[in-house]
Amino acid sequence: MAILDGNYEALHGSVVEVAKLCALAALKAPKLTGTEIKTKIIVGEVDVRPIVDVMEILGEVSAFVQGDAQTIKQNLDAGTPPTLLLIGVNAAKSPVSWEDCGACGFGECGEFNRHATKNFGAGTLFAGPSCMARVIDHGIAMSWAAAAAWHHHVDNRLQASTGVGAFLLGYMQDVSLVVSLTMGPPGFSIYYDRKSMKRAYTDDVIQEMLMRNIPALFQGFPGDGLPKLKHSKDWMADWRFTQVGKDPEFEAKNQEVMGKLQAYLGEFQAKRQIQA
Amino acid sequence: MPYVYLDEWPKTSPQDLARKENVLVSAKLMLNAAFSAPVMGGIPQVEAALVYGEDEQERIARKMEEIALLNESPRLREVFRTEAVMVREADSIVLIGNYRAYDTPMDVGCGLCSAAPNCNFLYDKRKTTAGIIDPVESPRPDSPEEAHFRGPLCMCRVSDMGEAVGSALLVANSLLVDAKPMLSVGLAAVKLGYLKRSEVAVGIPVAAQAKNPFVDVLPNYHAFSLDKVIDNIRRTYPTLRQVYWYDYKTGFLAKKGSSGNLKPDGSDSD
Repeated sequence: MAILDGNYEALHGSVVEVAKLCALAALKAPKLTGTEIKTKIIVGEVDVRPIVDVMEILGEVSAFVQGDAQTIKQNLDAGTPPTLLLIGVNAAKSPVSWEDCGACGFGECGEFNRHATKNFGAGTLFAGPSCMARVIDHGIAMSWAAAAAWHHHVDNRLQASTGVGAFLLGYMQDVSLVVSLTMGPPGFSIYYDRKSMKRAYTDDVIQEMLMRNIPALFQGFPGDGLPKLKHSKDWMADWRFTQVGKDPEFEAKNQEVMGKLQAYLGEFQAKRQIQA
Repeated sequence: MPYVYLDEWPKTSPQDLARKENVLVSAKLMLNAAFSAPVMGGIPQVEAALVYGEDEQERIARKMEEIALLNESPRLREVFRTEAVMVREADSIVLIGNYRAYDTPMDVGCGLCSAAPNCNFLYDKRKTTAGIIDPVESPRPDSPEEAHFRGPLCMCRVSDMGEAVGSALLVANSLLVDAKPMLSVGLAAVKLGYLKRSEVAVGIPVAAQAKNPFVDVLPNYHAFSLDKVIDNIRRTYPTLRQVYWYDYKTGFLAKKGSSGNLKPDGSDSD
């Protein structure tokens, strides 16, 4: 006989079990071409923390990544790490002469494969070039995994941001595209309407972000050729405008972030080699 | 006609309506679950309604905005206003109410509402005729001017309604449609008389769209919703397109590097 509390310690194991079921779903998911889907489950703070570190660095120039980083970080700090199901695929290799479908931009699969071998490289999120059939299969697999988590009532979100962190750290080998199905900790809603981001931004910051992103909502009469932005009640007296231009500050920041990232990844690999 | 085209844009276009028809199927299945949900003693007490269509959803949304203004708490005002947007964006609305919580309580003195082994707390607040809560003298549920439900309600009945709502949501969950229970919608629906006998209800907007419309919204969402953005573009663009007085047949764009952009430069004309 035992009394199990409904807390993290008691339920975390079940989240990991559900993550395994999600991995089964990803592998079992229907495929266009029998693509090999690779999965890995990252459990516990020690292995999740480096991913968050990388996301935090990237997040300095991306609000979206930063939000995901902070949510996971807060859960790590609270001693309730989420479980990450990494779903990856190597899309840079086509099943030879499957259909010669042309979606990749080449007439024949063989041609694509030769091109991909020579020109494999990373973008801001994933690596490429990619065979469309592989990408679709990966999409189906992600969907099945997410639906499995949904059916088991574990709060989850498919995150490219977390996938990037794991990808850059080399958590998965022989993949070009990794997305993380971030699951748990047990709770009502962790990744939607995030309590973790409560009071992260002031009203002013949010309003400025909106003005930058959807200026059309705030623009007054455009007949002057330079519409004034409605930023407060006296927007007609206190003029603000949107401007098109380069942002050296942002560019420098971006450069700095890339440097930081390289340094962190180097350190991580060195540490790993020592451990091995 | 074995061809049905579905899309979620433009709003209320044939393709959008066709998609909404499909969501309706899920909403109907949710109602089955609401009625078959476990309730204490198997006593009939749940009533439900299905509301969809632009006009009806707008009606509920406006009532919610009206109720928002009756609230003194700024936080509640924002909840009502934001959820009103969600009602507009939803594909259909499931309403689940309990028609016993107000005037035919469980009568077991369970202690939930009163913390006492009797139902006096509830009966004291009602007009009764020979102990029976008077169905006429007690105020009707749909009295318009209140921003809340009129308690105390029989919490046994409310608990049963919770189970009905939960069953409906579970069906939505397994059918992979987005749904969210909202008290604000339930209150507006009660005030509007959509649920004929209920004093208390929960509204569940249901949607199957690219982005779940019920989560991850902006502060002051009623002012910053997609509808507002699009409307503002419709407002500014007609003026914007004419201020440069461009004649597409002769194409008199100024040459690159020429002086101003507000006065025509004679040297630039072809």
